[in-house]
Parts: sequence; structure tokens; C-alpha cells
Amino acid sequence: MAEKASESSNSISLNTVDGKIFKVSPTIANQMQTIQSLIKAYDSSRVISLPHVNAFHLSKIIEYLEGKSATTVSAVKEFEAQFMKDLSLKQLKGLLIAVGYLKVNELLELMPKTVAKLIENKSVEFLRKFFGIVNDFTPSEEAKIREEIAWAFDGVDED
Amino acid sequence: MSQISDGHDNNNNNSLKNEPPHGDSLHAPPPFIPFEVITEILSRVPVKSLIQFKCVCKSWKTLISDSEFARKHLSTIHHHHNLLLTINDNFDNLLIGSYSLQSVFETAISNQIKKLLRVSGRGMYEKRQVQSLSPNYHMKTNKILQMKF
Repeated sequence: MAEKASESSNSISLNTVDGKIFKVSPTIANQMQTIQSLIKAYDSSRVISLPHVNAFHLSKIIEYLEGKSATTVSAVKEFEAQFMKDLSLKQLKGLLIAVGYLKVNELLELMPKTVAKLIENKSVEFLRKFFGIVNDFTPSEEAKIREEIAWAFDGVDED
Repeated sequence: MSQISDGHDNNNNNSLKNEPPHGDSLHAPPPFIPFEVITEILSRVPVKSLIQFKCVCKSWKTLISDSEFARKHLSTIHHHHNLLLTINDNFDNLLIGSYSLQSVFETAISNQIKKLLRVSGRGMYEKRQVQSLSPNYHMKTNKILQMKF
């Protein structure tokens, strides 16, 4: 679908880290702010390399941007819900990184909502793992904070 | 996108150790979730969860305690969370649903709020706790309601 070369002469070529070339329309490309600024900076006929964005994540982003523009306003919510639902936790994380890097504003609106819902009852340990965060508190610092906020820990999900 | 304004926060943001040095963004893309995206996510999380998330790492604690973030959180989340707080004159009936992050961090009233949340967290009312609140707590609570909700 997205990988098929477009006949349009002004399509933008994007090369993912795993070596797949995507040709996208300027309308789609310009919805990724990072790409937009690269198109401005370079000759648009040049293939734009995207190290660290893989084909899966780029194809999901394109799927979203194309799908969203193709649907009516009333169908957008349904489309978005299905789009997010189809992603596993790991895919969600990878896509967040890609979306953050490429600055896809539409998805930067939608994804935080989904992730916020997902993490609201999760444990601190789950969050560190999910976000790849190193705990930089000393054990005694952490114990002190946990004591101060112990009242907030009712009803946390099991990991 | 909201940035943390307080100067010392920038130092604490370095605690996300995965962050590569800033350089050419094309050739050094982030293999981590950008902090701005994390801010967007956390601004949509209910207050009670956010309080727990303060012990994830130093940068999260700084972010969650930041007054600008609290304002962002309030403007993002208030459409989805209504405060449900009813107290009658005899303090014998108390119910709390949701509440703003800012109210929890306003030192003048935070202790009262925390006590109320404790009651709420157990899903039951304990007369003893309510009696331990300051005499003018009812007035202050009403004030919070008017100011924040």
C-alpha cells in the first residue's frame, strides 16, 4: 500500500532504518514536521534517510495520516479507536518514539490520551520499564517519597 | 507544548539516562520517548496516579511538582474529571470523586485535601478523621471549589 511507488513526480522518498523506501505525497510528508523541515532544507528529489524509524512504525504513521484524511468527521473517532486498539504495548512504545521524533502532531495529540489511560493504574516499576527510565533515587530517598505519598497507592494494578 | 520553566528542572531532566547528546537531529534521533511526549501523557493522567508517579525518577518528580505542569494538567484533564465533593453541615456525609493536581500541591490546603483523599480512598467515611481537620476547613474547602473547579 504505502510502499508502492507513487506515480506522482513530486512524491517524497523516505528510507527507513531497515532499508525500506516509502514514497509519500507531500501532503502526508508535511504532516511530519521533521520531514517537512528536511524537505525545505534539501532538494526534495533526494531520498530522506530516517535512522531509528523502522518500516513498521513509518507504515503505521502513514496508515494513520491517510486513513484519517480519507474518513468523514464522524468516522474519525472510530478509526482512531481501532488504530490504537490494534497496537500492542511494545508497538505503542516504538510508535511513540517514532512519532515524537518525526513530530507527527496529529498522533502527538491522540497517542498521549491512549497511553495515559493505559498507565493510570500501573505500578511505578511498570512505568520505569515501559518508558525505559533509570531510577535515580537512592533507596532511602525513594522510601521517603513512598512514605509521604503512601495514601495514593491504593488500587494499583498487578504488573 | 509546555516546557518546564524552572531553571533547576533542566538538570533533573538529565536523569533520563538514555538521552543522547543533542546534535544533528537527523543523525542522532532519540531511541527513547521524548520528554515533551511524556509531559503530554502525564498531563492526561488522574491526580492520584500522578502522585504515585513522583517516585519513578527525579525528573518525573520535578515535573509533577511543577506549578506550570499543574496548570497544564488542570486545563487538559478538567473536561474529563468532575469533582464530586459533598459535605453536609454536620460533617457526617462526605464524598469525593476527582480533584485538581494544583489543589494537592497548594501547601495551605494540601493537608486537608490529603486527609479528604484518604477518606475517599477507602471508600468510607470516618468521623474521627474529619473531626481532626481544622475548624475553618469547611470554609477553605468551599473556597477551593470556587477557585479551581
